[in-house]
Amino acid sequence: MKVMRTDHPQTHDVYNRRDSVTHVQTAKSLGVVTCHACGKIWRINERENKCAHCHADLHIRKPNSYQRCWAYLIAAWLMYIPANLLPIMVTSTLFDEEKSTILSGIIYFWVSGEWSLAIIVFIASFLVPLLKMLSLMFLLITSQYDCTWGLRQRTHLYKVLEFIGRWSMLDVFVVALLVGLVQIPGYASIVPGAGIIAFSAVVVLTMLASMSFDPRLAWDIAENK
Amino acid sequence: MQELHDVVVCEYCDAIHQKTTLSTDECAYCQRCGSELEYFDEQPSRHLLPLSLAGIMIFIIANAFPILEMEIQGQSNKVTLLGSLMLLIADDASLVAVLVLITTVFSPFMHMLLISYVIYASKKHIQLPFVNAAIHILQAMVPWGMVEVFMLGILVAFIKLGNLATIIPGIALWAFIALSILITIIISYNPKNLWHINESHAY
Repeated sequence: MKVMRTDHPQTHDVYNRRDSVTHVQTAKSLGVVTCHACGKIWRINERENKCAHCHADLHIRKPNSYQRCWAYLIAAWLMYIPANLLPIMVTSTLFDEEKSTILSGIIYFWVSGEWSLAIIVFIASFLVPLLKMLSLMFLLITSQYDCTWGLRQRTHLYKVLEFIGRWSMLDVFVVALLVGLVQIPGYASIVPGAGIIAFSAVVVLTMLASMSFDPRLAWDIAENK
Repeated sequence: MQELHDVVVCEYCDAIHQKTTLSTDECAYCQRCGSELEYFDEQPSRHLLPLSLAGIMIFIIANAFPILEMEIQGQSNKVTLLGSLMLLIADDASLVAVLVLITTVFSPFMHMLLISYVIYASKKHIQLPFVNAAIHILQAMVPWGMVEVFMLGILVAFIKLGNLATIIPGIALWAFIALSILITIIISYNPKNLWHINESHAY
């Protein structure tokens, strides 16, 4: 274990080399399990599989991690298509009806000169979900095909995914607020479109997918090689 | 089952390390994957309970009053969070309404309520029911609380309509700004440590 001041973290890449990975002992190889809820560390025995402190179920690895993660991820990709093609909201005025999709909303901001806002919405609603799903696929495939390349970087990527996924909810909140606010009878009103339902599903499914992925599985492979 | 006190396990790569005593502002990193292992073992801040109670009061203001008001050609309309959820349900988008309800109403409220409950029970050294369950629910709730994302959503909606109509910020907008600051402070306390403040007295 390396102790350092939080304000000056150093990095050292000793463990990027494959030969040094094997020197570290893992909790799994010693028959030790950490409670995911309260963080207590137990030596496993056959009879009990519940934490004696907080009564949560103990798992050495997240159960069925690959299967669950793929299931959520495939569902998210399926929902991603209607989320981008169908309108997320419909604005009706006296004269016409305007349907806007996620991308048309971004283009609207860009054309009307609100560049900073266009970039924020572009990152949160378009780039984040897309990169998140691609990165999760990358993490799953590299782990399942016994790839030991860039384990530290892959672990870091997973931590980034856990952190940024929530920001995709931005567009859902914007539509919810606009639907509530723009209700002027006889002048303009906004109703939610089917696209926003699909988009909410994408956000929830990718969050569930990243929660069910277990980064320790990739390190297990490096250890067994 | 035997509990091990002198080791730390990395939650990202499962490497096991000998525990070292950390002093203030120190952090231990995993040698194998570089993730943070543990911070200096902090007791829950004395401010956590008052902050949560203040948060609950601000939360009520944020939900009871209008967030934004739109004025166009002499007509006006105000939006409250719950009002827009009702409209979403009426427009067949109940799924979206439920998601917004969980992420901006239910999760932050339960977080503040349960954290107050657990800390109150431990400070008074009294046995209250469901403390265990409360911490479990609290931990499950953390990734679904999105007040700060909602805050950004309000700003985007504000600017989006600003070109078309006069938008007046409501009381709840200020309340949401205060709430997202408070929630950020409250959430920065790792709920895992709540399990250990109760250790000294069995319940």
